[in-house]
Amino acid sequence: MGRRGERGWGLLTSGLALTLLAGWEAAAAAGRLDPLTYPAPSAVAVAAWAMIRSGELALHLWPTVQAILGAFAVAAASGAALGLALAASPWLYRLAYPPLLTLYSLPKVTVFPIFMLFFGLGFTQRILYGAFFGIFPVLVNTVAGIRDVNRTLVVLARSLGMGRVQYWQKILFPSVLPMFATGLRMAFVYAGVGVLLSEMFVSASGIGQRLVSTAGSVRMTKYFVYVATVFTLFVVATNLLRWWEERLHRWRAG
Amino acid sequence: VQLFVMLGLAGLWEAVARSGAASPLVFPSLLAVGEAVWRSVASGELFFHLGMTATEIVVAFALAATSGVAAGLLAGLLPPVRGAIQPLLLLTFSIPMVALVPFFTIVFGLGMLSKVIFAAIYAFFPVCMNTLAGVRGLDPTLLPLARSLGARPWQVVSKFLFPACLPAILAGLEGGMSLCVIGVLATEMLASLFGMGYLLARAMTGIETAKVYGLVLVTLALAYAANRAIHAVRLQVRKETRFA
Repeated sequence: MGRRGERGWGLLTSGLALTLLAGWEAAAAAGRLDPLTYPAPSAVAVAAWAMIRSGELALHLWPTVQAILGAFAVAAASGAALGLALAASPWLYRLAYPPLLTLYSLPKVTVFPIFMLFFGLGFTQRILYGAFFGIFPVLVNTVAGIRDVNRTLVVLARSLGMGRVQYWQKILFPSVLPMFATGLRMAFVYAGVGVLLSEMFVSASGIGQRLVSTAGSVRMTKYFVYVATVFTLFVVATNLLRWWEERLHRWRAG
Repeated sequence: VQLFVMLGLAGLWEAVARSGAASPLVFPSLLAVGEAVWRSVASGELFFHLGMTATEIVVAFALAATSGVAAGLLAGLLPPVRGAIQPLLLLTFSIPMVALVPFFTIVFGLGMLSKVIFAAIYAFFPVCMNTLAGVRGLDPTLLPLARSLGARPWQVVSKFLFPACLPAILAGLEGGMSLCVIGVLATEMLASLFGMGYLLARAMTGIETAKVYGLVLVTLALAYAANRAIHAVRLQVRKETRFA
């Protein structure tokens, strides 16, 4: 089946999603659903509009966005640096890479209390905790990208007598960049999850805190507004990163 | 070598903790950590909560594995199902599912049910995704061959389709297990009355530093054991099917 066919089925999915929403709306209108726990989509939309107008949504969204961007930046920079170091030194790779992979596979939620003890409840803790989530995909993809550099190109560079700087600039960097971009896209999601979790556990501000507090209130309408906001934020950001990533892959191939 | 490095790090940690250079509130000595864990074991508290968490993980994993494999096989064989489910699969990898935890807690309560259901849904997606990829990666002549050999529909699935997809399924199960552990622990830490996540959250709010470190180590050990177990199954299957 070609891409066109798949796109057709994608329409089917959107149709299903719309039917589901319409069904929810109808059930809510008919009084079949408890409006406190399962508010109608239209009620959520109305609440969202009111929260946008009053600035309430932006007020809670902004600290979260700042923390995610901070965590993302720290994860990208440190992951790239550590990845380069690991790929450059065989012994460091043998010594540190296996434990790092083990750490990657373990549930990072559990370590949250230790971050809290070290860095308190504030912004620094949220950024570092998010970065702790985000560093692994960057690291792993950077290492894989460097180790995957086409051997022919390496030999070619040597026979052309390229200097170190030139080699990095002309061969290594362009080959690694697409993999690195894949790592970045995953890092955004991971870092975002880390920041949200931290806000959900202990925080006085941010979307994560609102998710917990509004779910606990009698009317859950606002909770659904925050869920929709978070999902939209992530989908937009990852699609932007994916677009950049695909461009890099095409550029590398062509 | 790694063992030596770890021993070295532990020694360094102990030295810093003992020297008083860091506050014991963030940097407990290993002895204190061991003692806190021992107290928790002696009171029976640790094993009770460990057992609850392990049960939740196992049940959630069983649900995610069966439904994920079934949905993945169906989606692999039937284009309409695949078309409907594939965008959803891609979407779930880029959205933070944890945002839904409060909703599950409200709907399913503070007991086991909310943890099991959230973790099962969380882990369903990688299992389904890998199974689907396994079916799509099959030799296209395999199923027609099976039918031409006179296999019944059920036999086609159990004798041909399932074994051929097994490596991909097991890869998915490995990812699913990690997500099950994360899903259960995160839900427990956010809202629960029992389980390791609950114990951890309580030690954290009480700033019982040594206990926090001890519980983190125990929980990581549990997660590591779960990972190793499913990995061992995968290796065993790989070894056996090679000679089949």
